[in-house]
Amino acid sequence: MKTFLIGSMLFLAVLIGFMLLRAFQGPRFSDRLVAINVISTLCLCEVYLLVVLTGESFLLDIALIYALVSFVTTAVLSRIVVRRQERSPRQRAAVKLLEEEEREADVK
Amino acid sequence: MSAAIGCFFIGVGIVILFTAVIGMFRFKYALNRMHAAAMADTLGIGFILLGCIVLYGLSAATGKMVLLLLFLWLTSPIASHLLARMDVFTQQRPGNYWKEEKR
Repeated sequence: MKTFLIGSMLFLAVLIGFMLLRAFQGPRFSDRLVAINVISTLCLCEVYLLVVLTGESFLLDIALIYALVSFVTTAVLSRIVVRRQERSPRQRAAVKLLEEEEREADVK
Repeated sequence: MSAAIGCFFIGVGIVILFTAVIGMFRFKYALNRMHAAAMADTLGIGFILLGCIVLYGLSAATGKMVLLLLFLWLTSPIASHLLARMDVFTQQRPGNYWKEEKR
């Protein structure tokens, strides 16, 4: 059982490395944020397996704080980006462009 | 016996997480990638926690694990919703996905 747990933890570490690569080469900011979210999930799995491997239940508190912090990070970052976008004139210009295109399509 | 069952559950969870990572690399847009990420958030971590509960045995720590699972299942849809909202709002031209579908 111990070797299985250690092997699965190593496999999860490899998956975290691949997700870091994904976060590095994601073309847009939201791609990177999704990758960071998956990395936090994988880290939580690592902590659970560590709890079973070592038998130390205080690591669960760390996992709880980690889950909370990752959720707050995602929420705050997306809120900040949406606020900034709503304030910028580019968004309004883009909406106007789309409406004009739809009107032209209706005329055709 | 319980060790075998726990290891089986953990193995299933790891296979699901691996599938999610493959999906993150194969899908093209952020909204498609979110679909794979949600699978890892709910099913993968749920199976791994189930295996951990079976392996650890019944105690106060197990109850804490169940509470953590409930917390994750409550918060991950909210995080996904906020992410999707941000992705749609920050398009260069809103409605890009559907426009490309039509052509």
